[in-house]
Amino acid sequence: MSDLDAYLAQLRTSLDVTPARAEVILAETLSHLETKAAELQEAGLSREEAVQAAIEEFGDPKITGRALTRANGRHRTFRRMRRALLVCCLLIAGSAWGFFRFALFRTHLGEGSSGIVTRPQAARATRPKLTSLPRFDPSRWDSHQLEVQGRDLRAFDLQQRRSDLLEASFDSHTQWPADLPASFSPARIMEMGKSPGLGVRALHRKGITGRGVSIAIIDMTLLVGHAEYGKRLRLFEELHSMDKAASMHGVAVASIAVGKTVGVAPEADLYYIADSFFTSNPLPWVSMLWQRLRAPGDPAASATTTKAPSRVVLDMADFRWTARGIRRVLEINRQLPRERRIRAVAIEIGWRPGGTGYREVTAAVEQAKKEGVFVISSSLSNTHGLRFHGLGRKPLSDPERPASYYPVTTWGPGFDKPMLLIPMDSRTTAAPTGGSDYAFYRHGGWSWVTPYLAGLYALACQVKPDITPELFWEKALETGTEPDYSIVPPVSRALVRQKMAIRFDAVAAEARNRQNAEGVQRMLTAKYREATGKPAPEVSEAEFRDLMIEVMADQETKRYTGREARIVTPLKLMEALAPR
Amino acid sequence: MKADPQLVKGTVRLLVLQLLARESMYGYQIIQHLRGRSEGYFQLGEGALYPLLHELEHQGFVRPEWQDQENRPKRRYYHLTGKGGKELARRLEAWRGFTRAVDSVLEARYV
Repeated sequence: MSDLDAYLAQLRTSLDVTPARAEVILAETLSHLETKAAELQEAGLSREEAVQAAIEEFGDPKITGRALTRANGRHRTFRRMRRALLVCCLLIAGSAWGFFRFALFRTHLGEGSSGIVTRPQAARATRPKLTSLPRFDPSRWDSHQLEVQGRDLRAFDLQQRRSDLLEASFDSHTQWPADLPASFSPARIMEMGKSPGLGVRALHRKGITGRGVSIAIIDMTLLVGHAEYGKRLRLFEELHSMDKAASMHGVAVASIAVGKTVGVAPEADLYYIADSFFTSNPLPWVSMLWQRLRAPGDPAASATTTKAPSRVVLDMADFRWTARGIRRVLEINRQLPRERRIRAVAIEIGWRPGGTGYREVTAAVEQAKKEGVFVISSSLSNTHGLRFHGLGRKPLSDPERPASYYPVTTWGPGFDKPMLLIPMDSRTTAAPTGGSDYAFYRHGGWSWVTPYLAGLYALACQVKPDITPELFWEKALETGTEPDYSIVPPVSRALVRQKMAIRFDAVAAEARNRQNAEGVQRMLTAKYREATGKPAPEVSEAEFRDLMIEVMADQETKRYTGREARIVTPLKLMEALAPR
Repeated sequence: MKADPQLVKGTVRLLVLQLLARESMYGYQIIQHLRGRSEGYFQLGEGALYPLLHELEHQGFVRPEWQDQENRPKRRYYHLTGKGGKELARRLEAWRGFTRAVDSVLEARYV
């Protein structure tokens, strides 16, 4: 090894820099030493003497190496220490962040983040072609007769079908013929239906939007990214869900509660638990199929998830899952900071004694009451003693004016006891077929009422954070307006009779399941005496059925002559809760 | 006259920047210029210049560039950067202020 190589080797061992940097330093040092040596050689020194002199001039390799190390970055040991320090800092910061999120706030649902555990796919947008557009029959108990969501109607001549079209439910994917009746504009109807109505948008303009309030919904699967509520969704969990694609029901109720254009509380946070409500037990499914086979077309045997829950749906529901949903909401709530606690849970179904899980869901509601959470379900009159019903509205009437609304009398309870009337029919909601799709539902159900109430309660929580369900209801009734019964569409005696026949048969069938034929007869004659004050006549079973249906129809008609119902007036309600 | 090491230490950075402001140079060339122009006053240890040059490089005051030489090892030339130019101006101003102050004290007449 030459002196030059030996010097460079010593210098290399003194360097504590990256290999690439060491190469640069050694190359530069070699260049310097060679230049210097060449100059000395020109002055008369031998190569060895010149190299030796150049090396001496350059200085001690250890001292030079240390100086070059300092100039070219930190010492490797120092770098290791620095890296270790950085790791420690990150660990400490991570622990502090964890402490902040899990211990201090005890939540993993921070602002801007969410607990969305799955993203169900959008529902199918188009449906098979219709051979003709059905006619709306007002004498039928089922008002959902013209549902043309996703249908292609372009081949139909609808010029003379205005009255039918005004009873139709449709969506963004309904394809209309070019020629429609002049006064029928689907776009206008859909736009008008977007308003929650009754002055709610005026409240929004005043900043009463539900901001800072959280509510929950337990319902069917959601399209989590829909533009209406996607940004308000803080949590989405599937607890007991059988749907792979988003359901029209879940999407609609979420948008009615917190939708940015169609919702009552567009700035409230939403926690959503998906529950299909149905039992996992196969026996009721088999029973339903058997009923359908035995009596095809019988509405009492049609289980549908898209309409007001029928008796069959209730029979097939398992409310133990609903109870678990409520308890899950309470569990999440305990982890949220006090100011972001969930104040209401909307559940778009009701339960009754004897149903599967009735005891569990009732207990869960009681627990929610203790924890300050208002469970708003179709069973509100049973769980809280608070009665409500939905309001009808003609599609082209102004949704802001109370006079546009009328109480629905084709179904639901009478008005002989205090009750709140809530917008329900002719509503536009988010649709499950795409993130910016909408659907217009000409006829609604209590499923459209409970999320409305939850949204309204969120607004009340914003203006009066210490509000209770009882005070909310009391003030809502106090400030509500009496409906104009003169605009209520008349219900035909035939329709009431039809409805009572279904009710009579259901009661009789249920009694038959529990008692013998003699016991059933005794019960029915007692009911007759109770209703009429007269003993039941000695007639055949079929004749008795007809008589009893007439009696029930009389009672039903009387219930609707009461004057205790009040249309909710959100503006007056908020003023009463938080007077200026 | 032998240079005071403390004085050299404080001024060599300024001198190197000033030399590079005139033309780009490689390490040995800088040493030669320092010696030649100061008439041998600045007898800088040759190995001591490179840590300074590398420091200036890391600070962004100079930019190195390898240039090939015929039949000789390639050389690493240093160019003054814009940032280096500003640093030089700042140091020159400080130096001039310092020498003016020192001169005015040394040359003052005491009565």
